[in-house]
Amino acid sequence: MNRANLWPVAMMLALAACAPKAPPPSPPIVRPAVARAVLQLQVPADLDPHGDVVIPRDAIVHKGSLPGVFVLSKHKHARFRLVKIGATTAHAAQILSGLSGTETLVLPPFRGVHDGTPIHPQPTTTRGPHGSR
Amino acid sequence: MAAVDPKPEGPLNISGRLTRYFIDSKITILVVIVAILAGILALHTTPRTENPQIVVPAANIIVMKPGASPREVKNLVVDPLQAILRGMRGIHHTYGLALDSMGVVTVKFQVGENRVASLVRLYNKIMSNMNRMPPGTQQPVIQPLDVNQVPIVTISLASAAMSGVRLRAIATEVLHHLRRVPGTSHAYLIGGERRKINIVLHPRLMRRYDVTLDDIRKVVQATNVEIPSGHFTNHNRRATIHAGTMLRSAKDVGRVVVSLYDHRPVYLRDVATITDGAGRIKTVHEIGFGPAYTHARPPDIDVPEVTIAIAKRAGTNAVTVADAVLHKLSALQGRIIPDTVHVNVTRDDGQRANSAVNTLIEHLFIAVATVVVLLVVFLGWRAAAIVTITIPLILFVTLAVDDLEGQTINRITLFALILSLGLLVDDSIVVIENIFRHYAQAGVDRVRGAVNAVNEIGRPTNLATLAVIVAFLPMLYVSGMMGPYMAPIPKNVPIAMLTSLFIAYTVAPWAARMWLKGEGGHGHDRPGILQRGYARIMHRLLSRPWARRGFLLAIILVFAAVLALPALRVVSFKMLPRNNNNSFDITVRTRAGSTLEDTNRVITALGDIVRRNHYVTSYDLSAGAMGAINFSGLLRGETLKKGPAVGEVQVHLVRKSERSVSSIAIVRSLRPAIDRLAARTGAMIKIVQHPPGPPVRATIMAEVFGPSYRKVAAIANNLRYGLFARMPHLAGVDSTVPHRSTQYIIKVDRKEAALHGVSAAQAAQTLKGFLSGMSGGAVHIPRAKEPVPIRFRVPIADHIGPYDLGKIFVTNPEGREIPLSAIVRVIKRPGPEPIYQKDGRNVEYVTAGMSRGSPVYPVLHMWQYLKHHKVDGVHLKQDFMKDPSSLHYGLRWSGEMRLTLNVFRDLGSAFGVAILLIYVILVGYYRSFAIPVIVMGSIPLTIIGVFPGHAALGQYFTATSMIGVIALAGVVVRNSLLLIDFILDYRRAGHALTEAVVQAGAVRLRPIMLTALAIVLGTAIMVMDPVFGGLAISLIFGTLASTILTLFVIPLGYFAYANFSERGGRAPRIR
Repeated sequence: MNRANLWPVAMMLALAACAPKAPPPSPPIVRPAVARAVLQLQVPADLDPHGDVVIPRDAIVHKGSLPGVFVLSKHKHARFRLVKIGATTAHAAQILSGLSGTETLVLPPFRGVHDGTPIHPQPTTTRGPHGSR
Repeated sequence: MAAVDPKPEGPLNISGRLTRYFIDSKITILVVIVAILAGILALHTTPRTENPQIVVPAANIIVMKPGASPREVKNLVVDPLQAILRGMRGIHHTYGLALDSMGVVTVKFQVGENRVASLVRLYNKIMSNMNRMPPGTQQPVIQPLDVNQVPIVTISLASAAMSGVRLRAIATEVLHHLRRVPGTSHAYLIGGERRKINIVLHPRLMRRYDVTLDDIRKVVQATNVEIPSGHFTNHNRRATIHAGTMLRSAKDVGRVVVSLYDHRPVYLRDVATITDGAGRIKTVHEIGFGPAYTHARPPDIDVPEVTIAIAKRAGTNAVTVADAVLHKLSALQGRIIPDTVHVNVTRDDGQRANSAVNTLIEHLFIAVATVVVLLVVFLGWRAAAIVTITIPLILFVTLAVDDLEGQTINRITLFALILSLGLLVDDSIVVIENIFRHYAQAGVDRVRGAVNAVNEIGRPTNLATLAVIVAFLPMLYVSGMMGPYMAPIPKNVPIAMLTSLFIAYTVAPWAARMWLKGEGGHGHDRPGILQRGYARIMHRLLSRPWARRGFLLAIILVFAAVLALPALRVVSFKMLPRNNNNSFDITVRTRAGSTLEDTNRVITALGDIVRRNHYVTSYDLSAGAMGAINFSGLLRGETLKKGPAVGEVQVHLVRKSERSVSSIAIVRSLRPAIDRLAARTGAMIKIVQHPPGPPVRATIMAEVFGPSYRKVAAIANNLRYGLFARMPHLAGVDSTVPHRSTQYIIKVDRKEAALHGVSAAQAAQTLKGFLSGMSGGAVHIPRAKEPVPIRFRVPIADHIGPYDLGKIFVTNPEGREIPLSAIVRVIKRPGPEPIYQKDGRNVEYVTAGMSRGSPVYPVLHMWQYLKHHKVDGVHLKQDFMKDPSSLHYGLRWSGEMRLTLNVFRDLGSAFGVAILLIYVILVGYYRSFAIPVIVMGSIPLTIIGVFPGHAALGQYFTATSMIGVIALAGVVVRNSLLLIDFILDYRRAGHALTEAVVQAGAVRLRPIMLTALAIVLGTAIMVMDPVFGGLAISLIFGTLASTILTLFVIPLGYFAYANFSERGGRAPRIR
């Protein structure tokens, strides 16, 4: 944990000490950063003839029963994005709704990746056998 | 008390007789014990609620007419239905909404109508008029909207690792246990995924094996039967028989033979993929955790959740029911709920009500303590102790009466008690003081002395108490939702006053006889510095006519200046200020045509915004549906909202006792970020704070009526983007005028269909099956707690566009397959627009909330603007109260403005009636028309304190402030009444006019000050309350101003009157 993360914890502990009645708020969760390959989607390269985005099938992840993908946020965090999946092949999946085609996807393995995990992006060289290209 | 010589002993009045009976009776001690026991019992058994329960019988009537356009639905269903309903008794408003294939009429009955009777009448009326519904309409569904449907406890079970089906199954199991808790009623689940057998058909394979959707559905339904078919009896045994084959699992379904191909059976699994699980996602419910969350955090930011919502039965105590539910829940944890599931109680109204009530009981104790300190200072500890004993007795009796009446203990009840505290010590003080005076005379029999003392002051005390009661009673007749909301005040204060009178005549003299010492000697009769100063000023004023006139003129000038304060907006009006709450909601409506994924993105972004606030413990995110309903949402009609474009965020904050920042400030700090998000995404985002009083549909609401609906919509849009958008401090401006959406009409070409031998109905049925799936009964899984339906559908990929109809086939009677594209045409056109109606007339609503301030002033401003400007070339006729004419374009201002006007109108009339009643009583007492006018002169003097008090503390003049003004009428009349009474007594005893006036004032100075201080100190604790602060400010400042001025103005007024009558040759009549 870096120093910047410690300050809010310390302040919260100090606050908690002032009010003995309430249980202290639990410290913010620490999600260890992981290095993962990412995929920058591009328009129109990643669109199919219908105009829907096509992504690698293994980029799809389920949170509970919700189908989605991890999108790399501005602050380099993996954020879960709900998607509606259309036709799928062995390697590719058509996304009917949820992606615009300009996002950066986090690629598997998803072990250790949660909604909000910081990601050190590793550029991919191969785009994989998906999409219309 | 009366400083004049006691009257010769005559027959005792009712007060004296009461005292004589109780003063040495054993019953008195019994009265004390019974009062204490009843009070303690009431405190424990009376149901507690945060606010009084308002009964607003209302119902949604939902009528389906498949295929009808909104205009058709309006003409054939909504219009006749409203016409039928408007003939019913007790209906307040009907709201119509005509949608595609569906009509909804919301009926609101008058507040206070009996709920059960109203609903029975509603059912009767609709069922007896069913023949007037057009053919093709389905049976109407009547949904009563009931406060008791609102969940008091919501429990969130969340897990990111578990599937939605599994989570829901666990929640169902938990719900099953929690339903057994006594006192619970409506209990249901929100979120998660129902278990379904999903049959995903592959059109390509279906064509290959030559099976159609309809074939498959029929076969599955025909297979899935099992019926009791009688019994066998043999070997002296009887056994029942069930015949048939029930489908019990996904595997079973897959083994169904759907047709024969090449002399071999074709199984369903050959043409479809069959899964047992969630199926298509239609709603998303998640929970996220803020910085103030106190339990273990899950690794994900937002976690899918299932919410268990539990409502209580009518008449049960929310506190005990909620406690029992949560107790049961903790027993289930670890046994039925796995430890990996995060369990959070996201709503606990029992705890909320309890802490609200407990806080106020604490405040009540503080108020009692301050009054006691005051009494000790003024009366000495013995007298103070006696008065102090009477306070809890009176409060206990009042609470017990509430319990017997079936009322609840709520915030308003307790405010009523705090409010009456200052008034109810009065009677005992008066009695004790007079007894004390009698005992001070040497050689007085203790019993006789006390009885005489009470007898002496009986009549004026009765009258003064009556005046206070009469001031409050008209408030019972306040109309609308505010009536029942405020009702505990006019109910409790009179009860407390009557009880205080009784206790003052019974328990107080009894205690005085036992404990009051005769020789007190804290200088009652020796005039103090205050009295001497008062006498000097009065002498000066009385002796110089110009000084007298100057003084009265100055008072009138000050009065006029104070009246100018509201006009200059130094004091602003508002119905009720906002409350500091532990939660608030953010509702979202994304643009028409948005998908669930779009809405979920907005919702997630909102979660990110609220998560930054330090006081947020958790928040529930819902997309595609609303979260657990609350009372204000119920009345705003949120039960009807669903679909991919709606969503809601319910934000839960740290308890208000443990946070220094009010929820109002938290909302204000979040608003800029939320507004930016709304601008970026084009979504309609509204922050809904729970109102302290009755909820309204919107803070500011303009109802636009007119002959042409198209024009009405144009005007409404114009108002929304023009006038409303320009007004400062308005937030979340919205209208019911819909955004353009697209609709595809798939028209069956009748000629082509006939040539191919296919009926139009068959084509439509097939299309529906392909597009939205089809239900094929349910599999029979004995252990499942919810039905497990069989859903047929075609993979979404195959119907992404309207031009893919070539892939769908219908089979004609000759067995030939016809592609749907051969017999239908696709037309793209704008989607049908809903039609809104109110009381049978077309209307569009333009609504807005307030980011700060009172809605009164923006509305007045817009009203002024529209008076002089045209909108869309039309001059709008504006109204506040009555319906605008149906021939012209008109606008009615509704929402909180309307409620504010209604409430102030009702409270104003209550005030008028109270003043009239007080006058009548006083006329009866003095047998004069003029003297009551002088006595009541102290009422307007209160205003001199009330408005500047609000201005000084920067508070709104609210409905509770107005209640304070009404209460003041009773309080201050009491002061001037006793003052005039003394003057008259002195004059009767033969004193000169000037002397009588000055002496009476000097003698009454102390008790009047004592009474005023009791009220000020008793209510001081209320000043900080966001809702009842206004009441406290009115009482404190009004009492102070009126008390000080009464001491001068009333004697001067009487002096002038007496002088005038004497000069006119008539002596003022003294009774």
